[in-house]
Amino acid sequence: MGLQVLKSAFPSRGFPAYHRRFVPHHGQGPGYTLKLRAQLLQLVLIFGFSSSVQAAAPSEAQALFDQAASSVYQILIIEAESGNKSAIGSGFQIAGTDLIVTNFHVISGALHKPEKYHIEYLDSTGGRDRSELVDFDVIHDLAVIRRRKDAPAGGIAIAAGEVQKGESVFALGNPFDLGQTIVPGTFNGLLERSFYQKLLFSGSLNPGMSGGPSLNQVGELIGVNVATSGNQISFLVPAKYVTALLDKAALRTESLKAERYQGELEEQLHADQAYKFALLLKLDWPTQKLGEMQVAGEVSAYFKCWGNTSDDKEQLYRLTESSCTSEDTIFLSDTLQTGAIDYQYGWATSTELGSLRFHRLLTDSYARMFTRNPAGEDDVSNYQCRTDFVQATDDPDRVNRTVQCVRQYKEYPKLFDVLFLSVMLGGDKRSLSSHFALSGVSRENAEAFTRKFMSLRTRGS
Amino acid sequence: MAFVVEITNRSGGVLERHRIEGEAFTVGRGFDNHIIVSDPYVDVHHCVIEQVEDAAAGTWRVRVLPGATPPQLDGRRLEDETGRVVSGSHLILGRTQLRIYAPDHPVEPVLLFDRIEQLFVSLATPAGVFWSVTAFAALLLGDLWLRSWHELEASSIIQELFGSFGLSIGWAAFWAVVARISRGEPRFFHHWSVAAMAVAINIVGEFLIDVIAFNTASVETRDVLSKLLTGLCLAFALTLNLRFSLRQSVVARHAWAQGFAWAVVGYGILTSMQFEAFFSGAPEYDGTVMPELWRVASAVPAEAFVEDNAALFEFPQEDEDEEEEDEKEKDKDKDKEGDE
Repeated sequence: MGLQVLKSAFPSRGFPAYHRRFVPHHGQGPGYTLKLRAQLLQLVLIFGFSSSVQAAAPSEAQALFDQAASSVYQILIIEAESGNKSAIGSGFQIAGTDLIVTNFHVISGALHKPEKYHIEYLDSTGGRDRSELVDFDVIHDLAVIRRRKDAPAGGIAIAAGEVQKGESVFALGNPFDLGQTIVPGTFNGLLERSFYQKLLFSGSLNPGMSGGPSLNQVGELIGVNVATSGNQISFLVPAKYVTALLDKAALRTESLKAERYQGELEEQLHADQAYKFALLLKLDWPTQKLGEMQVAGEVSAYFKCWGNTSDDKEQLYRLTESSCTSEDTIFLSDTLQTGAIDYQYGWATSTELGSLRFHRLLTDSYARMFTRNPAGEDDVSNYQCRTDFVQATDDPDRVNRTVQCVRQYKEYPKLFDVLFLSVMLGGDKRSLSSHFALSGVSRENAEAFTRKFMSLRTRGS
Repeated sequence: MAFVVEITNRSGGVLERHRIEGEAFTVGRGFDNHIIVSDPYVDVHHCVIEQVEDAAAGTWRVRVLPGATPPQLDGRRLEDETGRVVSGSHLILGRTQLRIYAPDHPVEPVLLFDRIEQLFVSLATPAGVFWSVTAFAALLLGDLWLRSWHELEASSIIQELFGSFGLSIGWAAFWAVVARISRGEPRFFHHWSVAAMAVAINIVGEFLIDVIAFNTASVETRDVLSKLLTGLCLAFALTLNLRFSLRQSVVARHAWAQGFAWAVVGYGILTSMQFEAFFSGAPEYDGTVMPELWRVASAVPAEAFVEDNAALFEFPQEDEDEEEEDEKEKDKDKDKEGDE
């Protein structure tokens, strides 16, 4: 499932898009290379609404639009030197306040580089002014900014009750800087297999609509537009996180200053990975059979596992792979997404290859590993790696050649990306390889995860 | 009584060597001389080297024949009279260089490494050519087979053979041309077998490095050993190629060969140091996997692995220091402004 974050950016940079599914690497043989497929969605491809949803009560949409349009804003990230926008998104005013809610990813550029970019809002009457950050929730991709003067009455209220599957939902926003639009669609429940709850909205969200409100039939907020993976599969941040963020923001006496921002962000990331790993490590990981070994299966509902066996007749070996990924990543900036957890296993066997050639196959297959995190030089350090021969926990005579690599986040020095790759030796041309990649994790959690992961690979009964 | 006369090039390389029986011999362009030189600057009858009466054995004199240009003896021009010649004297007539020796002149002992030359001479026989070409092809294909984990295809075999044979033949051809110019004999197959041996050393060395890197599990060890191996192969090839193609002293030959080989390695180290400074999104580790039989290194329990990896989470904090320095500088600037 590829998720497209709904922010319009300066065209030459393309839209930040990240592809989430593990793609086995078949060029140079089997391997656990996690390839990031940067899919630059073409305007032609994603622009255009399906006629099937337009059947949903046009008069209703008209009434809702009239009611809510004055509370929906376009959020612009202005580049200081050119004075032009470098990215756009949407936002909406909360009823009874001068606060505008949008997505964190819409304004992240201005937060990371306040000397280069600043935030502006454009209201429905064409009024435009600078704005500043009040508070944010990076985990759920939400941010609150303040309208500086003469906030109009009105605004959007937050729905109190639960929404039912199948109810009509209307998303508002400003796609591709084309003007305010309203998109009808259907509410399709909560994404249950995800650490970070999201609502599934069957309607077309497009770049630029990020941060816009999605309303129920009476015009109350049920979620905030955040991402799409095309074909009417769109995602909303549930309104309850907006309520939580507003409660938190209310406790703040003053706006978040730029120098406090990184510290606050690190705290949120740290708390989130602590919560996530506490949950994961507490669980009894179910195991499943792979070849002659027992390995971890779907550790929790948050992971999805995919499998494949290479069955090319001309091949002199067989490789069965199991690859599990969590679908959750946290958007920090255009170049840094974090929070992903992946683990993979491969069971390779051969009767035709000699021992040396079989091990050459393993060498070539595991000579490289990558993370899904496409971080750049400003975001992370280089990897530091260490390799050793490690005894299996259930049998000291079964040895794995094991590599672990760690890199540090430059802005958040307590968080790391951690890679692990281990290949079993001495299996008489039968070998298990196991790999995991964690991003944005503390040292303690990475170590605990490594211990637990190593203890799970056992000889199958 | 006898003389030994060498005709040499200007570097002292021997072009011809003659042994002359008798009390005296003549040198000139005419066919009635004992030593006939084809040098237009030499007279038809140029000079006579003869025994001096009542003198010690191994002492002679040069007598310039009438009308001939005075030759140069041991760095001195003989203007009119006769010159005294001892065993080893150096005589220049026109553009021809001669050395004159007594038959009992001491000869340098055989150098140990000269036996190497014998090896290459025997390789250059028809049987030697057949076996060395076969062995080289077998080594290349064996290596290709070991390195691959799919069926070998004709195209990759041809590619491998053409590549390696083409490269070694090209290398040998270059040195054969050099040798043809400088020594008059190309000795192509000597040069080819040197190249083939260097490739063979490289292939075997790479395999040994794989075993060592597998056991030491260190990228650095592999880097260092690979570079040493490159230097070794290059130095080996250059030393022998120079030996078979140019006449030079042992010291000069080694200076050139080793100097060039290790300069290439040094350049490699410099460039890789430059790359190390760059940011790389992919981790660098040694992923060599070999059969358990080849493992010499001991294995640690899982818990020890996690504990030993604690150091991986320690990163140098250069940035903060830099920021502090920046701040200090800013403070200084502020102080200055304050002073003004």
